[in-house]
Amino acid sequence: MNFKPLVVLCVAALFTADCEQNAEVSIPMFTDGGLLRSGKALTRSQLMLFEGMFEVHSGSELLGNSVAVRTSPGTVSLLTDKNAGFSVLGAACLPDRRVVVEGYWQYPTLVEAGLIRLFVEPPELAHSLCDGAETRPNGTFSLSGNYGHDSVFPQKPLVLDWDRELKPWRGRFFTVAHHGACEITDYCGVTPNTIETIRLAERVGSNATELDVRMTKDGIPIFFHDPTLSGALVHGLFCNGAVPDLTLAELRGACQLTYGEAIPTVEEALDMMVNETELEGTYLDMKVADGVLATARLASKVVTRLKERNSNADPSDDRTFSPIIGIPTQEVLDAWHEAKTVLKSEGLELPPCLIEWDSDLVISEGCVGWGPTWTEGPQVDNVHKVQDAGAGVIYWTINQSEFMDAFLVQAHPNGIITARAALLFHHYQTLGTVPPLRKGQEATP
Amino acid sequence: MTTRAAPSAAPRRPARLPSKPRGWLCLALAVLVASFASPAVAEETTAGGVAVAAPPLPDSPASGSLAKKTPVMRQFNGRGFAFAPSRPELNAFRLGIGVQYDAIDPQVMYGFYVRVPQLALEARYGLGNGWSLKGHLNTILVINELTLGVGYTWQFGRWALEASGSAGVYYGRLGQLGFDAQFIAGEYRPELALGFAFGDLMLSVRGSLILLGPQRASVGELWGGFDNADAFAGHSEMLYIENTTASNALWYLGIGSMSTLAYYQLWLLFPDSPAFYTYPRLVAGYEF
Repeated sequence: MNFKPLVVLCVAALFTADCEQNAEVSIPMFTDGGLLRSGKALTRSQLMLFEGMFEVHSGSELLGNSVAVRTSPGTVSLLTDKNAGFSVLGAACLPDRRVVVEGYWQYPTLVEAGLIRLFVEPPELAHSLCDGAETRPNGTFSLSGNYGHDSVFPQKPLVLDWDRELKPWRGRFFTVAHHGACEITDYCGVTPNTIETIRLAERVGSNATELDVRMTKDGIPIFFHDPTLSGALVHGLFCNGAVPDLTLAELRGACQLTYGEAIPTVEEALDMMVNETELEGTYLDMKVADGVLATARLASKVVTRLKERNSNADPSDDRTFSPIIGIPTQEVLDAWHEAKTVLKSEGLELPPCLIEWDSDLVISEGCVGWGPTWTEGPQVDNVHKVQDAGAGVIYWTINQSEFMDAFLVQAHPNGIITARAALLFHHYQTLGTVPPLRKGQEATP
Repeated sequence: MTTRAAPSAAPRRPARLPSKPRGWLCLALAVLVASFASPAVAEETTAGGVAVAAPPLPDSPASGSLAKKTPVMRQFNGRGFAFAPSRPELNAFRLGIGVQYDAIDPQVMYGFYVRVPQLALEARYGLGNGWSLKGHLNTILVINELTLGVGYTWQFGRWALEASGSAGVYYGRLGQLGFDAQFIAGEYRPELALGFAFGDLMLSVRGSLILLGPQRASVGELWGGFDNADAFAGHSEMLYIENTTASNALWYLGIGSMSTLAYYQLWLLFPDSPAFYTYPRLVAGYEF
C-alpha cells in the first residue's frame, strides 16, 4: 500500500485543525471619557422618570421602531427587539444645565457595538432635573442626540419620543437571565455564571437570574455550569479535571473564566445581588444533589436577613429578593426534603423552591414556581393549574423571538428564562399580558 | 480603540470575534502537496506487490487497454466512487456505508456532553457519458439529512473534476428527554470536487455549499422560525481517500473542515447565533 496519500491526509488534518483565528472586539467608550464625568449623576428616583415605552423618531435602523426604557441603580437601559439589542447608559446633569444620557449600545449575538449620546428635551425638563425634581411634568419629552459604530464619535441622529408607561413588571413578570446576561457564544465580554454577568444582566433588562450551582471538594457551593473544567468556559495551565475534585482555592488558583473573571461562590454572588442590584430573585439551578443543603442554608440566611431588614423602623432599606432553590430532578428533590428537615430542626427559615418537571409536584410540595422546559410546548392547561394554585410559571430557556411571542400570548407566564433579556422585556411590554398575582402577593402600582 | 467598559458597566475584557474558517485554504495546500508528490507516485503503481507502469486515464490521449487493468481506473469507469469524481458506466451502482463524526464546536455544544457518530450512506448511479445520479443520507435520529442530485465529471489525464447539485431535506425530531420538538428545512448542496488518481487510491477534494430553507421548528403544537436563520448555512471542504481492494469494493477515509451556523450543527439547542463555527468532520466506511 502507498502511504503518501495518508501523509497528505494527515497534513490536511493538521492544517484544518490549525486554521482558526480568534480576533477580539472592544466594548466602545468615549475617548475623552465622555460628558458624564463632568456632570452630576441623577439620583435613583430621577432615573425612574425615564422608564417607559418610547417611539424611535430617528435611528430606527439601530433600535427598531420602539424601545423599552428601564432603569437600574446608576443606569438607564434601552431595550429593543432589533437583534436583541440593548444600550447601557448613564445620566447626569451638566454644568450648562443640560441632562446627558450616554453610554454604549450592543447587539449581543453580533460583533456590533457603538456609542450613544442623548440629551433630555425640552430644556425645561432638563433644568428641573438639574434642580432636583423627582417628578415628570405632564406632556411628552424626548431623548435626542446621536449614535455611532465602534468607538467613533456618535454622529448619526437618534431621537426617542416618550409614548407610554411600562406595563407592570416589577414583582409581576420575571425576565430571568439565563446564567447571566449572555450566552457563551455571544460577544458581551462576560462569562456565564459570574458576578460580572449578573451585574450586566440587570442592565440589559433582567430582573432575576438563573445560575448553576455545583459543589467544590471542600463543600462550598459555587456557580459553574459544566461538571468538568471545559475549555469552553475556563483556561489556565493547570486548570483541568472535575469540579467536585478540586477545592475552591485550587479552582481559583488554577482557572480563569473566559474573560478573566473568578469562579464565584454562591454566597458572594447572593450578597452582591442583594446589596448591589435591584434584582428581585435568583433561580439557583441545583446541578448536584449534594449541594442542596449547603445552598439552602445560604438562601435561608438571605431570607432571614431580608425579613429583619424589612421589619425594622426604616422603610428606606426595604428589599424584596427571593433566592429560589431550583429542583430539576427527583434526586435533587430527595435532597431538598432532607435539607428541609435539617433547616427546620435548626430553626432556620425555609427558602422558596421551584420544580422543573412536574406541575402537580409544585403544588403538593408547596413550591413557589414551576419551571417547565419550553421545548415541550406551552402546556397552557398546566400553566393555568399552577397559577390558580397561587404559584408562578417560568419557562426555560427561550431565546427565539417567534416562540417568545407565542408563549407570551398563549400562556401568560410569570416569567421566561432567556439570554435575550432586552428582546423579552420589549416583547412583554408590547405583546404580553400582566400575569395574575401569586399567593400572598399584593398588587403594586 | 479602547477596551475600557462603558461608564455604567464593570470593566470587561474584549469579546472575541467569530473565528475565521480557512479550511478551504488548507485543503488547497493539501492538493498542491499531492500534486507535487504525484510524478513519483504516478509513474508506478503496485499490483500484487509488483511495480508496474501506471497507465493514463482511459479518456486521456494515451489511454489504452492497460488502463482498465489498474484498480482505480476500473472503478473510475466502472462503478464509480462514492466521493471522488468518476464516470461510471450506464446503470452501474455504488453504495457506501460508513460513519460520519462531527467534532462540534464546544461553545455550540455547551451543556451537551455526548457526541455520537452518525450513520452515513452514499450512493452513485451511472447514467453514462460522465453523468451520475447521487444520493446521501446521514442519520442520528435527531439529525437526518437526505439529498438526491446529479453530477457530471470531466477528465483531464489523472485529474477529474465533478460539478454536482443535490437537493433534499434536513429533518430532526426528539419526543423525549424534555423535548417535543421538530426541525425541518429544505437542503441544497452545490458541490465541486477534484479527484486525482494516485496509484491504487483515489484522492479527492470536495467543496460544498450548504443552503437551507425555509427552516421551521416546532415545540409541542407550536411552529416558528429561527432568529438569524440564513439560507447560506455554511460550507464544507473535505479530503477523501478511497482505496481499491481486490474486489470491486473500496474503503474510504475522509477528513475536512465544516463551517456552519450553529443550528445546522445542533438545531435541538435552538441557537440564535448568526456566527459560523468551524469544526472538523471525519468519515470512514466501506463501498460496495
